[in-house]
Amino acid sequence: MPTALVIGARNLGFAVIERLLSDGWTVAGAARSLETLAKVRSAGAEALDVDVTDQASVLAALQHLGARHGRVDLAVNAASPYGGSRSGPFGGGPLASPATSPSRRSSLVPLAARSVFSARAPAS
Amino acid sequence: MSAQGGPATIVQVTGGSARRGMPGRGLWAAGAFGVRALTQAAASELREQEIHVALLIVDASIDRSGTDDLGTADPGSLADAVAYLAGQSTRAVTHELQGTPARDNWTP
Repeated sequence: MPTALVIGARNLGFAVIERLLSDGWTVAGAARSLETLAKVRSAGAEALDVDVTDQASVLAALQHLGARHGRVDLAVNAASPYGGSRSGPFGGGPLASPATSPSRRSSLVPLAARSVFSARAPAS
Repeated sequence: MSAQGGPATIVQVTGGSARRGMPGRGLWAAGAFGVRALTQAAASELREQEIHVALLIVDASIDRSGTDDLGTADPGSLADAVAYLAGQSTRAVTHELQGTPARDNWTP
């Protein structure tokens, strides 16, 4: 059975989890909110608390799945800094707006991608 | 994933802001362009380890409430795109796949 880690499980990530499960994959869904993690569990996937901006957190999830199922065949990063209880203008707003500061949310996106790409499991 | 050996796939999801800076979303686009760059670099770096890296550009508003709004993308169709990327033959792999609702205004 191929194994997948889906990071971000609220909306798109959850649909990916459901599709993979119905194709016979073993799936773990990673999120932060308890509500999302519960939803992942009730769909039949393993729920993992992962901070996508923390490389160690992403690596730990991959290692956990590798130890449990032998290997990870697919990792999907669908994490988004928007959604849930987080608010604010989507995209940060106009550049000249007094409310726009160097948006932490925008910087989260490449950080998250970097964590997923650079996470390396140690050779066993 | 590289240490475990053997083929694997990484799918990075992003939005239309990875291709164009839209008004009101400049800061977001700065991050999204960066994700595209990282994904391209990773795709090249991980090739010899048989890791297929793909960027899925969701060039759309994603329907969050299960409506039939044809101007939005539904999560199920996007999940189909992920499954497609995960199952490709190594003879022809996709490194960037863009999806957009046919009824939505589209800028290449």
